[in-house]
This record gives sequence, structure tokens and C-alpha cells, in this order.
Amino acid sequence: MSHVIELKGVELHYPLLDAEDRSFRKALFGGAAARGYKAIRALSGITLQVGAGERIGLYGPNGSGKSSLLRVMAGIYPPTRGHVEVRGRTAALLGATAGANLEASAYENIRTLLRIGHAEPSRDRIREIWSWTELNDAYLGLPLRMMSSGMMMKVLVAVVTALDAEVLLMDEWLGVIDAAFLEKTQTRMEAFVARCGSLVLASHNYALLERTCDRIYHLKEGSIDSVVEAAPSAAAPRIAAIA
Amino acid sequence: MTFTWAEQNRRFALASHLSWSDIRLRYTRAVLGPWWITLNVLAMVGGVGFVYSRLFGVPINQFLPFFAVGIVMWTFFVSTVSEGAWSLIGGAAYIKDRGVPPEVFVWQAVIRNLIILAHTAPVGVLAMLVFGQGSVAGALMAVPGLILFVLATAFTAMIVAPAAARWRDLIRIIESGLFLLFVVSPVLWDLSIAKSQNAAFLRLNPMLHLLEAWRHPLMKGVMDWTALGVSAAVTGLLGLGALYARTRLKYAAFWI
Repeated sequence: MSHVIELKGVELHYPLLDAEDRSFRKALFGGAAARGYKAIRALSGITLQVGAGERIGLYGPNGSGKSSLLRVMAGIYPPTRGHVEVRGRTAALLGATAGANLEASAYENIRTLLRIGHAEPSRDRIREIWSWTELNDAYLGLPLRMMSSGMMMKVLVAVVTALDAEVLLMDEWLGVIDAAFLEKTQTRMEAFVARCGSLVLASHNYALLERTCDRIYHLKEGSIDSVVEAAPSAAAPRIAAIA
Repeated sequence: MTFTWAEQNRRFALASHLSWSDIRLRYTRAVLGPWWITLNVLAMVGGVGFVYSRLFGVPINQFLPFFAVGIVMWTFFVSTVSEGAWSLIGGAAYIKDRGVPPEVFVWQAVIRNLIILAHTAPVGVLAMLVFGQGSVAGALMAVPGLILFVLATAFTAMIVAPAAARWRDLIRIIESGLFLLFVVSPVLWDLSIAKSQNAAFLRLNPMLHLLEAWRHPLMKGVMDWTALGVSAAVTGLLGLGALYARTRLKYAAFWI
């Protein structure tokens, strides 16, 4: 099977920089002792592959390394040790604001996020994205910060699911979308994942992962604790409601 | 990820998209749009030009164009470098949550200031024309020096960006450093007003050469080869520094 993502023995030391570690004066005049800083081992001994068309789940409590692992896959964090190979384009949706500019208008944000996702921000595409959100046109020109978090998420989901990528890396953050809109979101996510090929989804919600993913990695303190083959049923929607 | 020109082009295109987006965001509510900056610089050049030409006893038709072109380029340098220092912190959400390469935000600071420069440079041109200074030949001779100045600015921004993200007190150090550099560089004053022979030490300042490499031919119609040579060497060194700084950007996500 061809792998789109391959990690071998990946270890990640995340530097913990306090105010003193961030001081240039200290680094310059503080001597050798000031130069070292604390680091936590966020990931260790991670070996896994994501095949084309696979849906991978990452499960574990806060601080188990889910987000760090996604960021290593996205090329955001360089691994301290080990080997990371990503073939093809990744689309990353991580963190609470998912990289939006709250001061800029929804329109401007859509344009920017399309560009980041390698897509031409054509008028038609923006129209399509906006009409999918079912939001009032008046909001299109207003700063994103004037929207509720749910409205903002609709816009962000609409944009990211309009992109083309080989791998979608997603941290769970769809929770704020209202129930009525979830079904619609599901359908769109479904189409996106079908187009994308592979998905890596991190979540606290085990039922969601079971319904969505082929394989679930249980993470514990930065290592893979166990792997569960989950074979989602064909009848159930592959992207399940995130409630 | 392997380096490709297509990827590099894409980063550049994204940076310029973000820069234009910034300009739109900043000036949408102003009637004149970004030309508001032009008016600001015009007022400042007029005021300072009038006062300091009298203070220094230099004819206004010489001092005002000299100051106008100098301050326009100096402002470009200062804004690009200090915004470069903030650039990674400003792009944090895109870098950490979307996986946008950090260098995009350094280029964004450079391009945004180039766009602003395009709106302030006409003040310099206007001052030269109104006071009958300079010539077409002089303007052409200034081109290599101007290119070096812009490159040196961009490279400096690339050098300060990862350092300022890593060491947060560096931004204030850089900002006071820039003020000190302004005081010891010939923007408001010209070497010709320095009567003392002791002023020769001022030539040790690389910024003096970066300015003179284009301003001397622009104002006097004669090349200043020493300044151009020093500028080329300084820009080359800054370029090497920028290449090294760029390799540090891969750790940026840990720092922001």
C-alpha cells in the first residue's frame, strides 16, 4: 500500500520557555547556565503509517500528544528525532481559531484561507462557500470577530471543505456548530474526505472516532499505547455527528 | 518538505496577497485610501524641511529634497525591520494552526512596506522636481544603490524575525537600536554640515554608505563608488545572515 504519511521513531521535545528563557539579555550575559531551557518530551517512539484513503483516529486525554502529532504531520513542528515523510498536500485545521484573522472581514478571510489552501479565490467559489453557510449576506463584509463562535466555525468549515488536499489533518473543534447544521456539515465533510483521500482526526470522543476511522491510535503520554482496527460500518455515515 | 520553485512562488504569492489584504484593512475607511500616507509624509517633509533648512543654514532647495528622499527610504527601512521583528508573532495562528510556512510572514512585512514605499516615493520625486534638483542620469545611477538598500532591508527583516520570536525582549532592543541608528545616520543631517574633521568616524556606519550609494548620485549626478562597494559588501553579509536565519524558522512554531 502506498503511504501518504510515514513516521518512524518520531520523538518531539517541546521547549518550555519561561520569561527568563525568552530574555536576550539573559542569554547574552547570563553565561552558559542561562542558555539551556526545559523541554518536555511531547512525543516519543511514534511509528505509524497513513495509507492513501485511510481514516486515522488519534485518541487520548489532554496532553497525550494528539495535537503535537498532528502538527508534526503538518510539518509545523520539526521532530527532535526520527523520520517524517509526507507525500502530497496536507490541509490542516488545528487549534481554536484555526488561523483566522478576527479583524478582517469574512470575505477577506475566505480569500486568504483559500489561498493558503492552494485554491484560487474566485468570486464563484466564494459565493458557493458563503451560500453553504446560510449566513446573512450582511456578515460577509463585517469583521469576523462580530460573529458568534458557531457562525465563525461555519465559515471556516465551509472554506476548508472547499479545498483539495491529499491529507486532511483535523483537531476536534466542530463542537460549537449547532445541531441543526451538523447534518449538513456531515455531508460536506463526507464529500471532502472522499475527495481528499486520507484523514487524520484527533478527538476525545471515542464514539466519533469509531464511526469515522479505520484505525484508532490510543495515545498516552506522548506514545502509542495501543492500536485498534475500527472498520466503520458501511451503513453508518463515515463522518459522524460531533455532538 | 523538498524545496521547489513552485512552492517558493506560492509562498511569495501568498505573502503578497496578505500584504494587499493588510493595506485594504488599514485604509478602507480613509477617503484617500493608502494615499493618506502620501499626504502624511508630504506634511512632515514640508515642516521638517522648512525648519531644519533654516536651523542648519542650508538653502531649502537643497535641504528639502535631500531630506525628502532620505526620510522616505529610511522610513521604509525602519518599518520593515520593526514589523519584521513582529511578523512571526503576528502570523502565529496561521503558522501553528494552518501550517503556513513562517517565512511567508517575513515577506509579508517586506512587501507591505514596499507597497507603502510606492505611495511615499512620489513625495521624494515631487521634492526633487519642485526644487529643481537631480537629473535623469543621476536617477539612473541611483538604481543599483536603491536595489542594494531594499535588499539590505529585506535581509535585515529576515534576520531579526526568528530572533525576535525567540527572545521577546529583543523587539525593544531592536527598536531602540533603530532610533540610535537614525541619530548617527545622515537622514536629517548631511556630512557636509559636519565641520569637524573628527566626523570621519561617522563613515564607519554602514547605514551611511547604504544611503549615500543611491542618494549621492541622485542629488549630485556623480557615482559614489566607495559607498556602493561598501553597500554591496554589507548587503552580501546580511544576505548570508538571512540565509542562516531562514533555517531557524523551522523552530518558529515552538516560540510563538
